[in-house]
Amino acid sequence: MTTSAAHVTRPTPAAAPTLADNRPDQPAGALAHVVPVAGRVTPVASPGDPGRTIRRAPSDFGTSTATTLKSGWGLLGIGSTPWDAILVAIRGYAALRADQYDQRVRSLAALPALLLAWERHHEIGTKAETDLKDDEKRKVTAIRELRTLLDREHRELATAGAKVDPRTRTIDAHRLTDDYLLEQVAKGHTTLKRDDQGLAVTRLQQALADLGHLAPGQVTGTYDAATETGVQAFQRANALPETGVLARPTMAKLVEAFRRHGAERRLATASTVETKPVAGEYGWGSAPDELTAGARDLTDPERAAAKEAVKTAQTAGPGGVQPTFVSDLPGRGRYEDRLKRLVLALVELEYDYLARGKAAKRNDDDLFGWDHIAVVANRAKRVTDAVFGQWSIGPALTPGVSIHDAWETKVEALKDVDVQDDAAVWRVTKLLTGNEQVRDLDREHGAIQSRGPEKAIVDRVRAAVVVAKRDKLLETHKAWPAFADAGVVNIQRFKKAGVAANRHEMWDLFQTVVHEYLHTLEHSRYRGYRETLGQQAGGFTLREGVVEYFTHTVLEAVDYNEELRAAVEGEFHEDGVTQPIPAYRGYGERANAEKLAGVVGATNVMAAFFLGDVEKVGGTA
Amino acid sequence: MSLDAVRAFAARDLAALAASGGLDPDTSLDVVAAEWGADPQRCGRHFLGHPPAEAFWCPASLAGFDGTVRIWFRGDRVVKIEGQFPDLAPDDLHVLGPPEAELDYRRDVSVVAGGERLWASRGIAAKLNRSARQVVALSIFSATTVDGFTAGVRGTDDYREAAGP
Repeated sequence: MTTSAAHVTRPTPAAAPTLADNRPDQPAGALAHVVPVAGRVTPVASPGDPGRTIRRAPSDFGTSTATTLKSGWGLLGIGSTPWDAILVAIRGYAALRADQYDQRVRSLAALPALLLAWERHHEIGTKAETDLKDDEKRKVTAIRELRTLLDREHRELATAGAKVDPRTRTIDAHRLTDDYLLEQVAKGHTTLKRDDQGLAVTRLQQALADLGHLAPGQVTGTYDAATETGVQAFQRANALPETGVLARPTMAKLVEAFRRHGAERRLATASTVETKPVAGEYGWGSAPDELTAGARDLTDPERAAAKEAVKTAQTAGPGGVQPTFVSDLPGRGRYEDRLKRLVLALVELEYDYLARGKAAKRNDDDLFGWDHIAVVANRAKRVTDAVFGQWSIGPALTPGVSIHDAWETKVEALKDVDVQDDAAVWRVTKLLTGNEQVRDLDREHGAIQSRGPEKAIVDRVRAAVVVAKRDKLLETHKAWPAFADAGVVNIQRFKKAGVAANRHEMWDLFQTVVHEYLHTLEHSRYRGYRETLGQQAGGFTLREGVVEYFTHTVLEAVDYNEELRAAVEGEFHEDGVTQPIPAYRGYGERANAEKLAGVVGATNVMAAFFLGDVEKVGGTA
Repeated sequence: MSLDAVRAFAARDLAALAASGGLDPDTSLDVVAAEWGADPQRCGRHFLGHPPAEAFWCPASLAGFDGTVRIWFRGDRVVKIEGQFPDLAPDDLHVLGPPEAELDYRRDVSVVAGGERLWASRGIAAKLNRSARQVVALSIFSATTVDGFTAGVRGTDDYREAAGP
C-alpha cells in the first residue's frame, strides 16, 4: 500500500498528541498519551485536566486495571462494569506497539461499541444535561476527548496503510471498499469534512463526480468548498440533511449508489456520439472528444493508487511488512500437507461438477444447436452495444467463425502429448493461484507462493497432484465451461436434464457471451499496456477484472422481457414461466477494477479499455 | 497484384512459395475471399504484432489443411494467411533452407519454445509442435525482416479461461 496516497490528514493542533514520533518500540498512538503502557514511567496529561500530569510505574499495573487507572487518571472515579470495560480496552490498546497495526485496528474497533453501551446505560443524550451526576459529566467529557483521539488514531493508521479487516467490513460497493478511513466513516467512527486531504477524499470526490455532483476537474484530494457543495447536492438528492460532511448516513447512500452500476451506465451513454458505425476500435487519439468529457488526468499519488488498486498479489502490510510464513500452525497442521489435501479435493470437485460423464454425451441430441447459440450470441451483443456501442463495437460472435465447441477444440489439442502434460499442470496451477480457499490457506499461514520456501512447497504439491490426478485433470480441461484462444471463443454445448435447467444454461451462455464480446472490444493500446504488467501486478485485473466490471454494468441493465426470454430460451421457452436469471459470478478481480474506478473514475477506465488511453488508469503505452 | 503466394500457399507448394517472394502487399481481401469462398463479413477481431495492432480475420476452408485457414486483413488488404494442420511433414520445410529465426508460440495452454520457424525475407512461417514431429500451422505474409514480422504480423495469442465453477 502506498502510504503517501492512502492517508487523510486533518490539521492537528500543535499541542495535541500525534503518532508522528511513534517508533516500533513505543506504545501505540495518541492514546498512550492518556493511558501509558506498563513497563514505562511516563508523565502524561489527563484528558480531563490537561494541566495535570500523572505518573505510571510498572508496579502500578500489578493490581487490577481499573484500580490502576483510577489511581492516576482523575476522571475515572467509579469502577462500574461498562466503564471498566472501556478502561481495559484503552489499556490494551495503549499497550500495543506502534507497528502492531492489525492489532491496533482490531483493538480500536472494539471501543466505539463500549462507549455507546456506557452512554446508553446512562441515558446520555436522552436525559437533560442538568440531570447528569458529576461523575457522569466527567465521563461524558472524557468520552468526547477520547473520540477525538480515536479519530486521530484512525487517521494515523490510515496514513500507515492500515487495512480494512474483511471480516468486519461494512462497505459492499467495491469502488469504496478497503479504504480504511471510508470504512470508519461507514461504521460511524469518524467523518470526512472540510480541509481533510488524501485518497479517501479523492475517492469521495470521484464518486461525486461519477454521480454528476462534482466536475471531474474538482477531484483534487482536498475537501474544499466545491466538495462540500457536491456532498450537499448528493445529500439533497437523497433526502439527507445538507451538512456537507461525509458521515455515516451519507456514506450509506453513497455505497448504495454504486452497488448496481447505474452511474457507469449513465457515463457510458452520456454523450450524444452515435453508436460506432463500423466494427473496430477508434484509432489512437481519434475518438470524439465528447466521449471522454468526464475523464481527467491523474496526479502522481493517484497514479500510484491506481497501480496499487489493480494488484492482486498478497501485498505487504502497513509499514511495508511482509507476512511471516508459518509452516506449521499448532492444531491445524503443516502448510504443505494442508495445501496438498485441499488441492486434491478441489480437483475432485471440479471433475465431478464439470467433467464426470461428459465424454459419453457427444451426440447431437445431447448438444445445443448452433442456430440457437447464434441467436443468443446476437442478443448478447445487442445488449452490450446498447451500453458501450458509442465507445466501440465488434463483429458479432458467430458460430463457426469466432465461436467454437470447447470440447472439440480441447480434444483436438490434447491429441498432442506435450499439450496434455502442460494442461494437467495448468489445471493445478490455476487452483493454486486462483482458488479462494487456497488464498485463505495462504493467508492463514502467511504464505506468499512466489517466495523461496513457499515456492518449493508449492512446486512439490503441484507435481504430486499432477501425478495423482492426471486423467481427471485432462477430462476437466476438456469440459471447462468456456475459454478463448487466438480470438476465438470456445463454449460447451452440453444440454442438461430438464427444460428449466436448459433455460438456465441459455442464460448462462448469454452472460458468457456478453463477457466474451466485451473482450473483443479491448483497444490495442490497452492490450499492449496490460501485457507489460505481470498477472498479479495488475495484468489480470486489467484483462479479466475490467471486463467483469463492464459485464456487470451491461447485465444489470438488461430488460428481461418476454421477447428477450423467448429469443434466448428458444425451444426451452414456456409461456408464462419466468425463468430466474442466474446470478452472474465471474472473476473476483472485478473488485480490483472497481477500486481502480474509485480512484480514477469510471470514464477513465472506459477511456483506457475502449480507446486505449491507458494514461487514464496510471499506465504508459 | 500477384496471387502467386496465395496460390502456392493453397497448394502447400513450399518451393513455389519461396519463389513467390511472399504475399503481395497489395493483396486484396475481396479477391482472396472470392478465390476461396470466404465471407469477409463473417469475421473476427483480434491483434497482430507487437505492440499489438488491431486486425480482422475471416475463415476459409482449403483442401490440404485439416483445420481452419485464417485470412487476416487490415482495411481491404490481406496482411497474413495462416492455415492450421497443413498436409506437410516437418522434413518438407527443408526446401526453405535454415530458418531465419525460431520464435516461441502458444498452443492451448502450452508455450512451444522456438516452435515457430520463420523465413521472414520470403514471407513464410511454420509452427511445429514441441517434439517437432508435426507441422501445426503454415502462414504467409509480405516479405520482411524478423523484427518486421514481430512488429507487424506475429500472432499475439493469449489463452483465457472462464472463472472456475
